[in-house]
Amino acid sequence: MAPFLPADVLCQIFQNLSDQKSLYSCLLVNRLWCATSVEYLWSKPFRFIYTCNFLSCTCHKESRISRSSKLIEIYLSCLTEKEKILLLENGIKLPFESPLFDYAAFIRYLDLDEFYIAIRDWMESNLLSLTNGLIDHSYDSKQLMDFGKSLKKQKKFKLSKVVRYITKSLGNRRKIDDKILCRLLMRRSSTIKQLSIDRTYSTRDLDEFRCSSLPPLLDRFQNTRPVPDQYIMLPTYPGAISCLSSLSELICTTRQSKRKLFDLLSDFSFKIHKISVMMDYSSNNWHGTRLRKDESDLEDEAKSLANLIRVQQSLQHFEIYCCENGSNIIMAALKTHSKNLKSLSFIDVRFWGWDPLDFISDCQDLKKLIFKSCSGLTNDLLDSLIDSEFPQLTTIELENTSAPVHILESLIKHGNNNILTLNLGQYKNTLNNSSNIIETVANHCPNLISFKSFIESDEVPQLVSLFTLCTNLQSVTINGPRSPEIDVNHLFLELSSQELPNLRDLAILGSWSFRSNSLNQFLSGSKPPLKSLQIQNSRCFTDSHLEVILKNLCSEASSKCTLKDLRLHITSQLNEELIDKVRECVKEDGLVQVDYWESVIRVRISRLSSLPKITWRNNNSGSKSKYRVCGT
Amino acid sequence: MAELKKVKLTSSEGTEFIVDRKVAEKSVLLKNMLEDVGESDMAIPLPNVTGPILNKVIDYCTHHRDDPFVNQEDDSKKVSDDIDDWDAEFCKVDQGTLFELILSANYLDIKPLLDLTCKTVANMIKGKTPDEIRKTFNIINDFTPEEEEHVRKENEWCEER
Repeated sequence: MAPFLPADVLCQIFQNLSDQKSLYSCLLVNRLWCATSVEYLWSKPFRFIYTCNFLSCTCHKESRISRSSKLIEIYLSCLTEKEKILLLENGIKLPFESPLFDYAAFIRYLDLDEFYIAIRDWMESNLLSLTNGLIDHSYDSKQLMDFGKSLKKQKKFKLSKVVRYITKSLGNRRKIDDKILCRLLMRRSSTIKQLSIDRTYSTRDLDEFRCSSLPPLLDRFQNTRPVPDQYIMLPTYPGAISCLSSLSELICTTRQSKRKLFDLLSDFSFKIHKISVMMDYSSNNWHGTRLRKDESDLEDEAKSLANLIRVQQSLQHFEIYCCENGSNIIMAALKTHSKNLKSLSFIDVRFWGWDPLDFISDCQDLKKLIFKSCSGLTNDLLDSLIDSEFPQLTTIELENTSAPVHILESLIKHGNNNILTLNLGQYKNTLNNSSNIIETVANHCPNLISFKSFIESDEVPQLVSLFTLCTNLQSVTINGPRSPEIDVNHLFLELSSQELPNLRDLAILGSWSFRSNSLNQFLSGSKPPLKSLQIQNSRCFTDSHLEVILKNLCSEASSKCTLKDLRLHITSQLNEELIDKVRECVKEDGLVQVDYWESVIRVRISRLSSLPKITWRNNNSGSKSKYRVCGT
Repeated sequence: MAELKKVKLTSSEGTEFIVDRKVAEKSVLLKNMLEDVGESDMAIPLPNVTGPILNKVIDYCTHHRDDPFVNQEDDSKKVSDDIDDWDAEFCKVDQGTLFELILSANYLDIKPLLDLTCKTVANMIKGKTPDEIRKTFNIINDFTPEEEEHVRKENEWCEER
């Protein structure tokens, strides 16, 4: 019989469970499992409620509101008798029974936006009991009389008036509840590990998505719904000092002013090791236009952020979105952590007007350097990176971003063979016309696991060295021009003599042209155990290509049935029986997706000619998903 | 050279194992013990670990002898599906052995082995109902019906998904 596992070991096991369903199951196993797993289930209850799997989220607003209000009610039951009486006086009925556990003490991850949604949902579910309260005369008598008088003045009873009245009363009550609950969490929780207003979902795993039943992040004017001030003022509630003094992650990616939050946290949160911030908002409620006042506000916010950065003992991870004002102040503050910084990410940043990023060259322990959708990465900005040593660097990512090629080459050469993940983006040749950067990667990154880049036709031959020398490669994504097509038959034939024992994901996004027998030679010769294969923008792909894939990656007889995900974006119509065969092979947890382009555009054009009034967009990406087979 | 030094370990049944000091030092308990004791030919008794389990533990430590020491704070995010092939094969044992390995890793303070074995158990829990978990691990439900109802009631927000 298996031995008994004590509570401390169970904790170690539960730490590895990140989904609500499994933790909830553990809670109901027996008393010991219940008492041990409860703190993990309640460490991020709001996250659990509002995070769904993209493919399977079928949540309705009603069920979400019901879950939210049940959660808030349990938190309310954790209040002291005195607080419960205060709420009762405001017409909120509460169970006086104390809960089994002090649930409020377990919270470790608190997203203020999610917390706000939960309270709003709870208020909404209480609307009915509030209306009943009006009828019961348990409401403020003066208000009710005023309301009655105003009603009498009206010839017709207007429902909208009642709704407005109730909403107003709700607003007053909500302030009480917000504050009481904020106070509860600050007082009871020993440590909040992560505090966030995360609008970019950067803290989630890849398969975690925002529940589809939640209200949209932007209103109809494309403005951010702000989190109310009483939440931002969270650090002012009693208990906040001890609760937030060990805060290790601060994620603020909302487009609203966070200045107060930064200022308050600067007073007692000194152990933050990860900061992620959005440094853009406009207060006039019209997204895209900015007043001079906003610019000075942003400058002030940058100063507050810089101060928060400076007071930290060891800031290791820094991520910044959309920063145009006050960048120099923030970067100067980051310089004080150059010995601590392990990852630096810039997202949606336009670097025009920024001072050179000199401090990066002092970050000797830097492991990750990431630029996503950035522009303005010029020689002047990155000049200090040339010849700088980064012995720990494992990741360089330039997603949807261009950087000067000689700077990238220098980074790769000085990476001390440690680089594991490389995304070169669409690098720019500034010094000479042809670049050997892929060769450089092949020679200096022997341990490379993931590679992504835009590759021009004259650089394709260098890929042979990459695949030959970087044998640990697991994931390769190659972007390229859509036209003219690049003939890669020769590449496939050359690669067929090279075994690729680790290659699991291959994505060809540029328009590559290859014959089915070249593909066959490649797949049968190098035997990559591909789990995922993506071929986009292809004009050459036909039934015979799909047969090659079926033979090499889906054949159960040869125990090479590795393929789980096949995505094709092609022009020629494929035999549906063949697609069905692939579908059978990828089994229930796999995905087969075949999109057609060009041909679909042609069909649309011919149809549109008879319907001239209809306008349509996206003529470049005019693709239509023909098959989307997901797990049952 | 200190690294080539051998260390003697005795399992609960008294079986003696001779391992490289570097391998033994994967265990923080043994590392500290060896540092305290200094040079000694005496066998270290491990009364909480049986011979077959100690053998497995030594296999693990030998395979991972050159791994760098992982800073716990470094990667705060725990991912339970990043087990490499050798480790996955190592954990293909019966449940009794797996639990014994967890307890030994906990006792000997071998963090990576504890992580690996706990991840393996966590993967066995994932997606299961409470009843399936009880059956898998042979656990007796000691809740009274009232208690179970109470726990369910207070955690009702987890249902209806």
